[in-house]
Amino acid sequence: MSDKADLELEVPQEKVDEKRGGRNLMVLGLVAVGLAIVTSVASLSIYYATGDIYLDRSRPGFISDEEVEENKQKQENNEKTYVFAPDGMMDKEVLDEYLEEFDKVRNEAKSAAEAFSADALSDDNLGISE
Amino acid sequence: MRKVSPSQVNDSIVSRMGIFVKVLMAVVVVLAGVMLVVGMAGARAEELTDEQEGRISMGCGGIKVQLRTLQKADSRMRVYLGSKYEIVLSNFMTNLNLRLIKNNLATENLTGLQTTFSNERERFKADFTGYSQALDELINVDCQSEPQEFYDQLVVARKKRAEVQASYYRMNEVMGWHVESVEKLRGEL
Repeated sequence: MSDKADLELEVPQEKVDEKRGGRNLMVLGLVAVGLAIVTSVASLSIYYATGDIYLDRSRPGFISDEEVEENKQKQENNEKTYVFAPDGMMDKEVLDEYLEEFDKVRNEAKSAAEAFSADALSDDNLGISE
Repeated sequence: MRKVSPSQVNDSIVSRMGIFVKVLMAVVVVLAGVMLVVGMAGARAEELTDEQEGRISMGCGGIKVQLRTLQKADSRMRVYLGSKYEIVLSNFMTNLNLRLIKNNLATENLTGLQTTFSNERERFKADFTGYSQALDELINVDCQSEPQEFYDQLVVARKKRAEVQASYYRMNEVMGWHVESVEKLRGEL
């Protein structure tokens, strides 16, 4: 008597090839989906981890049209930014000019004196304190 | 004709599928574990009074608006400062040191300050990223139903903001040292 589990079937070679091809296609599809998920998760993780998301002002509602126009004007101004030449002689006049221009940029950076001050998240400012 | 048994056919499918599914499950479990650990890390702030909890719950909408406005303002400030620091490093410090080298006047102090400035800039970027993440998480907390959790996250955001501010002050300090060094060099010419 033959065991049902080990019952041998006479399967045509064409049918075997067809079944194998179908299985391979299914495996390929699943692998592709899996890879897509992994790469999507990885790229989003990198996007968050590097902090680019917090600088991505193209996010919906993150920047108004007026600010876009303002930024265009600022970019045009920046194109005229002073660049200290890496070549040439070095004397007191050159360094005087360097210091004068450097101070301009330095003062612009320092003008953000209230940048990231603690007041913005204080209990008083948020209306939490009694 | 080739003779195959159903059990052989099934074993082949199961083994191939099984390996793939196991790998995928392992990846998902690892990712979930990482997210869980990160989520559990956090400071526990002071216990709020009932009145404070009430204030947070009642004013949740207004607080969220303020936080979103702050988030945008901080991002604009970050971009503004980032551009200034880039100009200082590229247009000034680097070029000055190059010119000094070509004139055989290079000083270790100025070169070192360029490196310090560059490192501090990276630190500023990293601190801001950490603060932005904390602020984002704060905004996502439902302050109406979970005022205590909101306050806990607020304390974290405050701490991160203070780190960014400290970084900003350090950048100003390094620029000040740079000016002093250049003035000293000018005096020696």
